Amino acid sequence: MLFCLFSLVFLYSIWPLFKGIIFNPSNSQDTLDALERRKTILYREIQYIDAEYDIGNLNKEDYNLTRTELVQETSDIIAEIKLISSN
Amino acid sequence: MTPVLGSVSLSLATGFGILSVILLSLYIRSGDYRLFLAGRRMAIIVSALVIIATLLLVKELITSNFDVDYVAHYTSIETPTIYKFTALWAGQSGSLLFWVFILSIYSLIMIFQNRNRYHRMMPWVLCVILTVQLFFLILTNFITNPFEPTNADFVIANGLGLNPLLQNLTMAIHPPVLYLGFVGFTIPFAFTFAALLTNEKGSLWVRSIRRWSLVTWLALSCGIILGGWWAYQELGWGGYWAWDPVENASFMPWLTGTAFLHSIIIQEKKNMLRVWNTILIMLTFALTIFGTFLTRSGVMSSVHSFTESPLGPIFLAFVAIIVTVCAILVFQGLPKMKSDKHIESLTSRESGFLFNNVVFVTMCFAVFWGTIFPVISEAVRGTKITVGPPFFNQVNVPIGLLLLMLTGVGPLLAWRRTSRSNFIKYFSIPVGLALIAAIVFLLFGFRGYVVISLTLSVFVVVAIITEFKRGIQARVNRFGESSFVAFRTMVRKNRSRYGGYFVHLGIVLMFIGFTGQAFNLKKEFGLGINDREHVGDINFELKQLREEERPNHFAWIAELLVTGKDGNSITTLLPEKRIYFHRDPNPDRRQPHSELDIHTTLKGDIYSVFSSIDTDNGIAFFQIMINPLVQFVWYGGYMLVLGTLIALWPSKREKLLT
Repeated sequence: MLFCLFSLVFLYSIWPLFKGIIFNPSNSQDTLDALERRKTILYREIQYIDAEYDIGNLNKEDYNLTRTELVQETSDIIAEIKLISSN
Repeated sequence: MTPVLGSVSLSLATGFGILSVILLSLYIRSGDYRLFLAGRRMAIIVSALVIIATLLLVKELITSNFDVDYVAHYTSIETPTIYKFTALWAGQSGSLLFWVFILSIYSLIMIFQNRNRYHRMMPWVLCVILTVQLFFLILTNFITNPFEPTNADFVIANGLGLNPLLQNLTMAIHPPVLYLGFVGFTIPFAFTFAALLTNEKGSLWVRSIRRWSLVTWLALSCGIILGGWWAYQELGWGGYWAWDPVENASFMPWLTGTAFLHSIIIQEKKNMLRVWNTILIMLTFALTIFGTFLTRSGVMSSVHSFTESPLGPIFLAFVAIIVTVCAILVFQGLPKMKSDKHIESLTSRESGFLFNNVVFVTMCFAVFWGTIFPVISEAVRGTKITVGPPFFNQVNVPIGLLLLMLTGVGPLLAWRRTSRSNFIKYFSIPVGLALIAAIVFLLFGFRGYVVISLTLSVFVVVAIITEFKRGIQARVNRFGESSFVAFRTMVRKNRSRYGGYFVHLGIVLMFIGFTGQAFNLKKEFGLGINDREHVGDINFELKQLREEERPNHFAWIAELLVTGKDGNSITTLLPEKRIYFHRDPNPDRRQPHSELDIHTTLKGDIYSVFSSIDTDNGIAFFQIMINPLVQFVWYGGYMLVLGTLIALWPSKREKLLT
């Protein structure tokens, strides 16, 4: 009984090895995930620095500089996402 | 049969673990996805087998199968069922199995959660987790097997029973919660390791570990607080933190983990400090293993280290391997991890975060040094020189106060740089009010650290309130919301930040509680029936002494009437003197234990310990302590939990992303 159970468990674990070639979703999916994540963070950051500026935690010069940097990075990332998705 | 099944499960788990690592390594080399799928399935089986083995040991404990050595050592027929269950982590082999059990649960959650994510990192993540699992499986299989049969050629009628100190409800919760925190740091460590090896740039790495780190940090914090609560309620010395090596073992990863939670914000926002964050998370993990080594190797003697074992060298070797491999990886990855961004000004929030990190790590180093100093002194000079609480307090109190100050300074600093005018504008009110408070405290006669601590507490609270006020005001001006709606929306839109402020408020409350120790009073005395004594302004009168026989112990119960200086009744305390295993014919096995009673108010606790009894003359001996403000420590703990839960609560956007 125990031996049968063990054999079943072992078979379950090695079963994928007997399948045909399986598509590896690795690289492009991970790059897209990373870019999407970065895009989300950047959107949040833009909202965040707007609030920080309103509160007074950023002076006007730094606010403008930071916002420009963030918007630039966001648009670069959106372009990169489009490029990868179209491929 | 069940012990055999347990042992077989552990052996099979080891076998599957080795196979899984081999398959995943082959996948990393060849890229054949089938190998990854098979390796992942085996990783699932490893965890399932460990869970089965743990449940089998629990069954043996609950059914009191004294043929198993572990069961006979840590339970007896009289042990209440709940404590039979908690005996799982009372001894060495059980606690090591419990370690790998929690890691297995975490591993299953992690695999299920990320089955379609982090494809590049996952094989490495699984390899790291499996390696840690294998380390503990090798220990539980070959060094200290919890299913080992009792070494006796006669039928064992009863077990030795559980240490009475561990027969406490808090002790039933404290170790699992602490372990959840300790073991949990394996997952962020595994992702960090994987990110280094796969050259993951940062966003995915941060995403993969941020929530895990916060959850495990919360568990570790709760575990530490519960440990303090248990010590306060059970050990009878009136304190909650003794700088015991085992307490330090949990405190060190907490310090580096807290530093990490702060500096990861800078990485996420500014793409800076990646090397630092990597080192911090690796250090935190290494410290959790080191902590387990301290607890279980018997290298230090403390109330927690109940057993001595040959595990020390193996654990130390594992820690050494972790540190060496991590150091090599970080060194090799340095050029790729360096950020092109730099901190622009010393008076910026970024540098505030960095400074806070440096202070946390300094404190961790001080605790580490004080903890291992006895071992080093014994190894080098042959005599064990123990540094006690005075050393730790002398070093850590100033560092702690510096951290408290930074808790207030941080939110007042602007990102990138704080201009002179803003500096004056934002600091004037908190500093002004703190100075006024300092004068008031001095007028009340407080001196030294008490004044500094209370003044800084006022400063931090005002700074946080100011920060909330500015945020609310900005929303009211911009969106025309009412103050309440603005507050709610502000917190909801930035849970991690405002949750963090609640945590900071909790820390302030704790510091107020710590400061209360400066006013503690303590007195020991003996009382006959109707005798009176006083501690400060409070009088204690012994009204009655009762005896009671309970299922697993015998108890003398003292009835102490507590009155104020005007004779007004405050409360009646009922401390107990207990004898566990009182029916055992061997008097050496009978264990005395003082069950204390505490009267609690916000102002302070009246803490009573029934230390001994002279039955011939009918005199009971007590130790009474008046502990002002101690409740603030626990309220601070509640606030810390609340703040972390706010920070953890997923926003709508995060829910959609998940």
